[in-house]
Amino acid sequence: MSPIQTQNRRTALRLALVALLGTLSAGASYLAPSDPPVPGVGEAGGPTTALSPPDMAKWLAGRKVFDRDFVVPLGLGLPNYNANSCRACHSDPAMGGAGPLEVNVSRFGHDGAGTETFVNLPGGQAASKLRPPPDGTRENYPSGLPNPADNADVFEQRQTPTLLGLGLVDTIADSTILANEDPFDLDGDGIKGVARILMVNGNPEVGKFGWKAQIPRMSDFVRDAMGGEIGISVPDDGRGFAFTDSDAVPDPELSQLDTDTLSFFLANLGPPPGGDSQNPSAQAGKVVFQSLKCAVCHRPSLNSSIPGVRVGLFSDLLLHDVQPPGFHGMEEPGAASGMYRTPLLWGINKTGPYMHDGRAETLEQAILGHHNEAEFSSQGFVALTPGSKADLLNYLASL
Amino acid sequence: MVNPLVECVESRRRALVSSCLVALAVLAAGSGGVRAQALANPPQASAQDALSARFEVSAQAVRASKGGDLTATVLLSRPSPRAVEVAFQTSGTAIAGVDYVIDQSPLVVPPGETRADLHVTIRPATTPDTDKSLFITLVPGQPRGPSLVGVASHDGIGGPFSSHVVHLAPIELGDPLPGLTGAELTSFNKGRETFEHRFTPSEGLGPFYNATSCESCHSKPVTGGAADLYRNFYLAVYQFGPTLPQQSASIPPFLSAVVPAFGSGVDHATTTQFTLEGGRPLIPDTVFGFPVLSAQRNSIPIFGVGSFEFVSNATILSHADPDDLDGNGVSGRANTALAGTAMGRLGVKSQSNNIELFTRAPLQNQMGITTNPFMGPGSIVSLPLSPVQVSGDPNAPTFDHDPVADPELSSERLGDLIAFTRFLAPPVPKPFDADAAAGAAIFSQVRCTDCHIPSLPSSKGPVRAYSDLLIHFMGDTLVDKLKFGEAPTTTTDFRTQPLWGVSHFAPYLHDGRAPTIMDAIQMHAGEAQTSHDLFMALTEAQRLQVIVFLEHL
Repeated sequence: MSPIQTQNRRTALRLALVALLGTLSAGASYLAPSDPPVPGVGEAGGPTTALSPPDMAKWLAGRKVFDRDFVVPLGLGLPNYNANSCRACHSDPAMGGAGPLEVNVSRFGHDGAGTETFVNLPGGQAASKLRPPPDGTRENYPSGLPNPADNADVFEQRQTPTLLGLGLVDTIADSTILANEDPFDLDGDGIKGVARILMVNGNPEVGKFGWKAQIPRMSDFVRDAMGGEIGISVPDDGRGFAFTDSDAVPDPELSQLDTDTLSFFLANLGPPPGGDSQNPSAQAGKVVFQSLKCAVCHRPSLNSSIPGVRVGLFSDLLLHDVQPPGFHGMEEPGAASGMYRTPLLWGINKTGPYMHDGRAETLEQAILGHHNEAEFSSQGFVALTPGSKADLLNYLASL
Repeated sequence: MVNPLVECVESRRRALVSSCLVALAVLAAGSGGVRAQALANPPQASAQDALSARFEVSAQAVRASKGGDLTATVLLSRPSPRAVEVAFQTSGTAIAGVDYVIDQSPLVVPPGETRADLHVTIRPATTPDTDKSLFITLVPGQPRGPSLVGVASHDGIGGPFSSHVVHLAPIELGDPLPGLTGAELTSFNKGRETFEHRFTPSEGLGPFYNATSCESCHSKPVTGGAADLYRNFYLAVYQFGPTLPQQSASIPPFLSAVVPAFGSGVDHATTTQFTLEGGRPLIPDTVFGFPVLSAQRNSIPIFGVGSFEFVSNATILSHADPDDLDGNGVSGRANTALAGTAMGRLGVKSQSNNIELFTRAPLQNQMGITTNPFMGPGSIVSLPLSPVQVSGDPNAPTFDHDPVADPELSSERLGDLIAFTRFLAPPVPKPFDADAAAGAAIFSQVRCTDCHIPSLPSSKGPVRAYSDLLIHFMGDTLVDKLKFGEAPTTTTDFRTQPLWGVSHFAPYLHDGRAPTIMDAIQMHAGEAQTSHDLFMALTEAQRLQVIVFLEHL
């Protein structure tokens, strides 16, 4: 560049700068920092309860696996992958939490724009974002073959749900979930609710995890996510959720020890802390939450199979359809288009954006995005006074 | 007559390598007072940091014949939870205890506060006809560096008073350049807020995007850094015309070679509705019957890149040897356009030389955030009409098809964002231990320094980036065939990646294929084949010393 150009640009830049004295702020930390300080019990990302020293050591070892940046020599990729660590997506507001829009994952299928029976295209539903470099392709098909995704006309993005408290959810018995089913709306409140039944080795189990409750147990989730998102194969426990892959690293790519400690970490990763629930506005909002029937699906708590323990998850873990008219999305056996598990609301203030694809930037938008089975609730919200709306939002923020 | 003044004797923009001098007191000749003179301490640019202190002197007059008091205020850049000791030194011909008295040393700023006053008592003159000088110098913190602040004599030169920054601890990654003015620092800090801001669809995110914030891909280990492999993105173009692959264009409906990971509905070009249900854009095999080329990119850090703008074209060209006339196997070409007047420095193919453009392009291509040119037409000196850059004319506003009105980022925020990138300080090397020093020597012996030139001169002083900013052929396995400028060799070559701070920025090479520094070295070929072979012929201990050296940068 010429000196004149440099000088001109400099001068103009100065003019544009606001002449205020600033203060230095400390450099911000890495977006999803590796090996962050260990939060205490009751803090986001901390253990559920105080752990004995040996258990704490195991928990930390599991957190290290969660924190590990996988590389190709460790088996990264199926060869497809979406992320190279668990932490990459689960980092809001602490390791193990939720993720922003940009770590959404994509799914695709074909239903003739809603006129045909939904079919999975070759390669399955998941559309992984990446392949290990230097591969310039990123589709789920061998190079040179027709791309099944070319025939896709159903696309769906999925937000990263928080894993905080997952271990407690895992202790909820299938029968507890089934007890709240109302598939035919026999009570006439417009709200149904059906459990996701999955056949595991020929036995029915209730799905608890995932947007369509497609995963029954936390140990299944570990295998599904390690394989599907990172392309790391995990020792097969015979339940049908473990991946094998086609990269050069022998399966399983995660050792049994690492798998056990990772599962232990997640099983003992505490639920997210709530906000100020004693705030009078939040207290008033709790009443609104009940009166608008939000609590029918977002059940404040379910019994754990551990005696005396209630899990304050704000979900019935059932599938509901709250999508707007005309919605058509991904289908799975037992979970039709539009059917999603009631999202857990604990800690929701820190896990935006909301809804299965992250379409709602705020809690208010999320409420307004409820239709169908939740029409009563969202319409009721619209009719609230501004004060009651604020109360409800304050209540949600306190969960 | 005492005539204290403070004058900034050099441009604040020179702060990278130089700085201002501060005159605390001038005691005029003839009155027998103390006379302060300019203290030309060569400052050490690389020894600066976030917690800083500066002098502030208000206009005061002390008659040397009668004596009197001067007060200089030391201001910290921010409060500290601990007491901060600000060391200073005095020098000059004035004699402590005779001509002046300072009874605070060091000066202590209490916890939580940002200022402390330094009182200088000027004693009545004892030798009426002799000028004396007094220098008061703030001493930067360890590990290095003499003062940036001196006391100057400027007879007859009056205010205005300025102030100056001295840094109390080593600079850390993410800190601003030392010596910024208050306004620049404000802009830098606001720019960092925008850099870390997660954009939402209602703010204009999309309709295509890979990331929701700049920080998404520039945060390792701190804001402004690099990114893990999962933040990689794809570039894809289709080739047309007889001189494949030089003739290529972005794939409709994408506005650049950047392939977004997320996008809107099938009718990308005309959709006015941002929707998360939209199809993930795919990389087709062919476009209009023409073959498609694609490659990945791993994010690169932006610390210190502002200094590249101040390396002259002549300096860059002085290292170029496109025809390898010296026969050493290393050539090196500048990525130029506009008959050589625009010469690239930024990006993995040196495809840009302008931070504004290098800010606006990813805003558009990675996030779908539109902007108007900040400086207006004529300010952009980057490579024109390159599909990997801003769509179309780089002087033009960017636009997209989401419902949010363009531009989606205000000029003020864009300016702050540019300031943030411009003013991010370069990584500071750690003091070398014996292994690092040995590694540095080996690094040179095996001729890594042919391309990774330790320092380039610039109008702001030495740029110690370990790069020649030229593009080189790195062997067939690294070629990605993508055109990044006018030169045909941009389809095969890559810029010598700067090595300052390199240990923080894994993975390595343009697509992150190398998990470690050692892997990256081993993947060097082409022009680097000789260096590669010499490196591999070293003992393991010597190779490790090279790695240790690189970890100190």
